[in-house]
This record gives sequence, C-alpha cells and structure tokens, in this order.
Amino acid sequence: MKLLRTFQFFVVVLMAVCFAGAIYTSTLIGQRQKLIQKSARYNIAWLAGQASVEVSRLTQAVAGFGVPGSDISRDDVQLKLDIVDNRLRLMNSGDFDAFVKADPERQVIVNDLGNVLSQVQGLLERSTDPKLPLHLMSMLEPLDKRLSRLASAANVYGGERVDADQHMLLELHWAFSTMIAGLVIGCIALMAIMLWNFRVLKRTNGELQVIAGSLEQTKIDLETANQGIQTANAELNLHNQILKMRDNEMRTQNVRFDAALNNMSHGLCMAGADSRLIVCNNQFRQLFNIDQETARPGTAIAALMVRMGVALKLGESGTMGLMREHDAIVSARTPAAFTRDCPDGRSIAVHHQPMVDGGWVATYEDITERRKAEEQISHMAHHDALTGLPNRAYFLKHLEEALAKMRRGESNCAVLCLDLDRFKAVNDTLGHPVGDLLLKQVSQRLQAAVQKEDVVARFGGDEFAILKNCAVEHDALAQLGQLLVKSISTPFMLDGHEVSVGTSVGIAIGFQDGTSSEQLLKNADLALYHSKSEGRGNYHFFEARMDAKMQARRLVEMDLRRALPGNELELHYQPQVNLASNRITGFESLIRWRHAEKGMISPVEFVPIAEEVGLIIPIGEWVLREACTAALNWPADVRVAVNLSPVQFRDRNLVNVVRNVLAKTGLQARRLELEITETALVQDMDVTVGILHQFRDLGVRISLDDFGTGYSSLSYLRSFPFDKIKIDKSFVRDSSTRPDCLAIVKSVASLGQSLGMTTTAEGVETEEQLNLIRQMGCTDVQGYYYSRPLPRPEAEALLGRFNGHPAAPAIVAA
Amino acid sequence: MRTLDRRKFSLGMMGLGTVGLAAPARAACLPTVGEKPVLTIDGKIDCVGPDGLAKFSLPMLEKIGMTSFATNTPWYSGPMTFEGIPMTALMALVGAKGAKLTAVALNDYTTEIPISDFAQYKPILALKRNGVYMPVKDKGPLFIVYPYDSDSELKSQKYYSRSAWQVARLTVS
Repeated sequence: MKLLRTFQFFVVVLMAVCFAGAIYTSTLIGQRQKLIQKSARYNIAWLAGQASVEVSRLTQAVAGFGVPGSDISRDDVQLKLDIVDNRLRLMNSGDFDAFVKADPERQVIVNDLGNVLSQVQGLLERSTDPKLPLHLMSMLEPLDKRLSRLASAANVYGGERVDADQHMLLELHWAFSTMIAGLVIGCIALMAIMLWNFRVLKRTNGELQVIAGSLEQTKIDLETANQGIQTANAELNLHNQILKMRDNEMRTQNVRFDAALNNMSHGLCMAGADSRLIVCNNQFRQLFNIDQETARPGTAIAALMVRMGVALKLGESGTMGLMREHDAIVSARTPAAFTRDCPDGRSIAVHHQPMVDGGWVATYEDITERRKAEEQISHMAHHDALTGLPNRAYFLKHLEEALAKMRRGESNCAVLCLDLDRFKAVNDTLGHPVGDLLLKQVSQRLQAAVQKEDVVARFGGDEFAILKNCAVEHDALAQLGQLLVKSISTPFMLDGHEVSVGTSVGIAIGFQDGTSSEQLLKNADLALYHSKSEGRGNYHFFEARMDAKMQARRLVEMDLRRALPGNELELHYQPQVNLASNRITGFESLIRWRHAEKGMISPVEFVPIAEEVGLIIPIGEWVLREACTAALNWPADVRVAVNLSPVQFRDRNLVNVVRNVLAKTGLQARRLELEITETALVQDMDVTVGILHQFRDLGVRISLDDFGTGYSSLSYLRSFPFDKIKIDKSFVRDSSTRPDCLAIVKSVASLGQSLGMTTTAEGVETEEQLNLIRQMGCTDVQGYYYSRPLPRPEAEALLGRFNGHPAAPAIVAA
Repeated sequence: MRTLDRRKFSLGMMGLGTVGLAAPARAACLPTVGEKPVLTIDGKIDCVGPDGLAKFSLPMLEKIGMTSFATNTPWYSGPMTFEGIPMTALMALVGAKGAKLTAVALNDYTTEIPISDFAQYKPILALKRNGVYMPVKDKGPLFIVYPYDSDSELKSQKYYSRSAWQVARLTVS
C-alpha cells in the first residue's frame, strides 16, 4: 500500500514537473520569439549603411550646390540634411543606440556626426559665404570613412547577434527537446507505474476474487446456517407457542376447574394416601361450616372430621362413630354411597370414590330439600291437589292391600262410589272457584262420615270413592249410605252462597261383589249408576242384574246412535182439540223409535239415554224439522207442538236451530209450539228464561208442560209469560175420583184464563173426564179419548175427518 | 466615431469621385497654385494632371479627410498618435486601378505595398505626429504608418519595411 502511495506521489511529481517544464518552454519560446522579432525588426547594418549613403548624398548635394550653374538649391541641400538628420535620430535610439554604446569608438563617431550636422545646419541657414559648400564638404568628408567603419562594425555586430540568437535557439531547441524527452520519459514512467499498478491490481483482484469466492462460500454457509437457525428458531417458536398454548390451556383449565369445583352444588373433598387434604371446595366448607384456614390443603382429615361432627351436631360419640365409619370406608378401598340423616335435621348424601394413588375423593350433598321434595311429589302423586284426598291410583293401591287382606282372610272391605248431583249446575252458575270450595267441603264431610281406617278418595270431577276397611256388614253400609246421602244433601255455605247438591251412592261389598279391584270398582260404579237412574239422592247396593241392566242400556245407546241416520225414528202426532170450537187446533209431536229387530221402543226407554249421551240434540233438531215440515201440509189454523228436553236448553245453539228450521221449512213461527217441562226451568232458570224470550221474539209459542208435577209450578208461571199450560194427566186421571184434584184443575184453568193462557188437559180418556174438564174451564184437551198418537198419514186423515165434521167428535183410533 | 467619419468620407469621396468622373475630374487632382506639392502619384490612376501625374499639396491632402490613431512603433518609445489620410481614401480619390503600390522616399528608399493592405490593415499616410506636422528630419512630410498595435502580424519586419517615411512618390501598378 505504501509503495503504491509513493509511486502515486512520484507520478504526481513527474507530471507536475512536466507541466512546469512545458510552461517554461512556452515562455522561453515566447521570449525568444519576441527577441527575434525585436532583432529582426531593426537591421543595424542597414541603418549604418544607409547613414553612410545619405551622408554621401548630402556631400554630393553640397558639392553640386557649390558648382555654379547647377540646379541644386539650398533647399535641396536642406532636404538632404534633413534626411541625414532623421537618420541620425534613428541612430540615437533603439538597438542602434545600444550597439553604439557598446563601443566608445562608435559613440564618438555618432557624436561627431551629430556635431557636424548641427554645424552644417547652422551654417546652411546663416551663411552666405560662397565658399560655404567647400567648407561644408570638408566637414562632411571625413565622416564618410568613419561611417563605413561603423557600418562594418554594425555588420559584424549583426552577425554576432545572429550567432547569439542561433545559439540561443539551439539552446532552446535542446531545452525543448529535453523537456519533450523528459515528458516522454515521464509518460513512459507513468505507463510503467500504471502497468505495475495494473499488475498489482490484477494480483489484488485475483486475491480479491479468491476472497470473494471464499466470501461467497462463507455467504452460502452462513445462509445455510441462517436457514438452519431459522428453522430451529421456527421450531422453537412453535414449541414456544405450543407451550404457551398449553400454559394457557392449563391456566384456563385451572380456572375452569376452580370454577367447576366451586360452583358445584355438591361439596367435594379430596385427600391423599396420607390422609391429608388435597383440595376441597366452597360448598364442602359451607356444608360443614369449616373456615378456609382450617380447610387448607395438607390439613389432616381427622381435623376436618371433628369440625363436621360439630356442624352436624353429632356430639362426641357421634363424631367418634363417624370417624370410625370413615376409616372403614377408606381402608375398604371400594366406592361407597350412602345417605345420612343428621341430628341437625339435614340429610346428607355421600359418594365416596377411592383414587388409584391411594387417596380418595368424596362428594357431599345436602339432600334435605330433595327429600322433602320427593316426599311432596310422592304425596302429590298419590293425592288429589284440590282436596288433599288420595287419588284414584292411591286408592287402588289401598284397595289392593285390602283385597290381599281379604284373600288372606284377615278382614273384608267394601267400596262405595258416589258422585254429586247437580254439581255441574253449581259450577256453571257460580263459577269454578265456588265449585272447588264445594268439592273441598264435600270431601271434608265425607271424611267425617267414615273411620280412620277407611280411605276417602277423589276420582276426579265430582266423583268420589270410599274404601271401607271396617264395619263392612250390609246394614252398617246401608246406614253409611243413608248418612252420606243426608250429609251431602245438607246445604253448603260457599263464599256467601247457599248451595244444595245431592249425592248418589253405589255400594259394592268385597268378596261377594268382586274379588279383584277392577271388579269391585266396576260393580260399585254400576250400583252408583243405578242410584242415579233411580232418581238420584239415594244409595243402592250392587245387584247382579245391574250389570245386565247396564249392558242392556249400552245396547240401546248403540242402537239409538244408528236410529237417526237409519231412519228408525218417526214422529207420531196426538191431536189437541179445542173444547169451544171442537176442532183440532194442534198436534203434539211425539217421537217413536221403530227398532229394526225389537220393534217399537217407547220414548221412556230411550229418551233418557239420548239425553244422557247427548244424542238428544241431533234428535231434537230432527224432530223440529219433521214436525215443521208436516205442519206445512196442514191448514193454517192447526199448530204443531214439539217437546223440548231440558238437555236441549243447555245447548247454546238451540235458538239458532229453531230459527233455522223455521226459515228452512218456511213454517210460520206462530204455528210452532214448544213444550217445556218444569225440570228445564229448574236447571239454570235464568238461561232458560232467556232462551224462552228469544223464542218468543221469533214468534214461537211456549207451553208449560206437565204442570203441577214440579216444585213450584206457580212461580214458574211467574217467570215467563207462557202461552199455554198443560195440566198433567195425573190430575186429569184423578179428577173424577178426587175432588182436590178437580179443584186444582179448576183453579189452574181459571188461572190460565186470567193470565190469558190456554189450558190443555192431558190424558183425557173418558167422556166423564172430558165433561169434567170442560166444566172446570180448560180450553183444550188431549188424550186417548180423541186419539192416541198417530203416524202422520193417519193423523192427517183424522184431521181431515175431524175438522171436516165439527159436530161429530168420534174416537177413531184404538 | 473615427471609423464613421472615415466611412462617410470614403462615401463622400466616392461620390465626389463619381461626380468628379462626370464633371471634369482633373480639377481635384491638380495642386492649387501657390502650394508646393509634397506628393506625386502616378501609374494606373484616373485622376491625372496635364503632365499625366497627380500632385498633391499638404492642404489638398488634408482636404481629403484626416483620421488618426495611436500606436506603438519600433522608432519611438511609447505610443504615438499619427494623424493623416487613409490610404484607401487616397487610392479611391485618384482612382487607383492596380494591385501594387510602390512607395519611394526622399532618400530613394523604395518599398512595395499591396493595395489590398490598405483595406485590410487601414494604414494611413500620416502628416502629423502627436498633432505636429512631421519635418523631413523626423520622417516627414509623409509617413506611411500602420496601426501596429491593432494586429500583432503588423509587428514584423515585413510591415516595418512597408512603413516608408519621407514618402515623395507613389506609383500604382
């Protein structure tokens, strides 16, 4: 490196020297050039020569001037003198002067010339001497020679100068050449240095290449290494991430575990093989009232047991017992689960699970509430919610037990089934809350009627059942039945309302009326049904035939369902005759059932069944339509009367049905008469009366049927402005024999008269009765006397005949 | 300013020349009576007198139009102001038709000058040096002076030789 520096320095120096040399040479040349010019410019020899010549010419002029007869004037001479003067001036300046001064001899010559000239001048100007020219010539003559000498000297001088110049030029030439040479050498040196440099560079380059190569290699190695590191790094990162994730997971899990542990509903306690606590949760601590300090991990289990004992109020012996038990469980190394009812009132369920490492984990649950809940559920499962009485399922269970006892011969039992009469009415009129109250009070009364050993159950709705485990004899049961009927029929005070219901009871005695619970119950039920059909508010024992009866009834029901679509039903018409005009004023339509096999079945048989099963509604509608259609054929003054069942009044659609039938058939409303019994009014009087008013608004007539048979017939008359009263046939039948009946008939007739109602006496069979009725003042009669109910064709025929012959009433049909 | 004057003068002179051609031209070339001629021009010229020569006196020359410049010379130290007539003007006045001008001095010094020099270098025929008429003693009366300072080429023997002093005669050929 240093070498390079020195070389560089040398190169620079060399170049500077060359440059300087070049400049110097240039200046030298310039100088020389100037000098040459200067010297070339003035030829001293020529000047000297010319001086000599001009002086000669002057001399000639002077000579000529002196010669008489020449044409050279003074002026000419003056001219020539002037010319020489000029020449002299030139000789006194510039290089010539230098030349002259170089040699004193020359100076003398020049000076002399000057003197002479001035003398001549003076003389020429002033003198008029005729010998002047000669004088002048003598002055001028010596000059000639001397001037020649000067000229020669000048020539030599000139030559010397040229030599000197040539020499200088040669020197310059050499100097210049040297410079050039030096420059060339310098260039060569430079080139050499550069070549050397180049070599050095090449070598260096070579080395660099090698280094570069090795660097390249190193770079590759480094890259590989780097990649390796990166991969390793990436792996590490990955590991790190995984670890972090695991850590997080662990953390999360811990948190979750903690959360799970402490949000369990059960208390948890885990111990190691050394009988020291590993972990327990909040619930455990709370359950046994152990503080965090005592329940630190590492505490001996025994210490915890002591605290548990205190919390559960076990006492010292109890605690000892607990610890012994616990040790037994732990050493047994098997899972255990048990419930402990503690003196403090709580029930704790314990699950003990041994762990593989010798420790164990146990969960504790306070199941006190659950127990209570279970009991409650159990209770609810077995008892009716409203009354608290056992329900059907529970009752059956008791029944089974009782029957088992019966089979073992230990004791007998009896089943009573009862339901409330008119319960639905109460519910509908006073609402369900009152209905519920009623049921509660009924259940109380029932319970009061029986012994402790007996079971009173509610089967649902208004159905109850009693299982008698004692006093199962017939008479005792009869007495009980009586008592029940009486008790329930006593009015109840419900929320300020006085409510009267009744009960029907069915009794079945074990063994004789059934050996299985199903059988016994069924028979008790049949007995109940019988009671109901026997008018309600009574009790009946099961009789074998009830069963049969039940079956028969079922059959009827089934047939009846087919009757209407099967066209087995027909209407018969019984005429109603007006006494005054002795004309048939109307027909009462009565339903008849012509059974395909059994023949005619009386309405008494099937109407109650129809009412009970709800068939009465469609049948009733059919009856209305039939009746109205038939009446269309009859003269305008003949009405048709249709009986309405109380059950039909419960149908909310009843008025619409009547309206539709009238509209469809086109029958005038006033030709339709609807007959209702007092029974219909008894049940839901307000609703019924409302319906009646709606009928009235339609224009339909309303008759009060079977008058006198109900409770408060007169008050019914008050309830609604009926169009007709139909006196029950019982009164008519007994009118001939019993004067009180007659009196009643009379008063009713007059009542009807006063109220503007038609009175029809039903069931007139004899002429005597007829006359009596007529006497009493009834307006119309109906009965076998005139005709029994006839099928439509016969009825219409009768109508034709009867009304055609007003004067001759005759019994036509038998 | 000087150049402008010179140009004007040249133009004027040319105009005069043409007028001179139309009118009798000889009048301008003849010396006025009583004035001593200092310069004689002969050769291929238009303007000649009765003896076939053009003669000029100093005032005549001065009338042509003076110009001046200052320059260094080898004969004097320091710059000198020479005043005279431009050679081009003189040539134009006489209607010189040649390419060469031969100048002969009072001392019979002879030199040849190409006429192209006049336009190129603008030498003058000087009458005055530093405002004073030059006597014969001092290179007078007429001195052909080049403006040596204006061109380095002029500073050579060639042009110094052409700078004839004590000019008496010009011959155009």
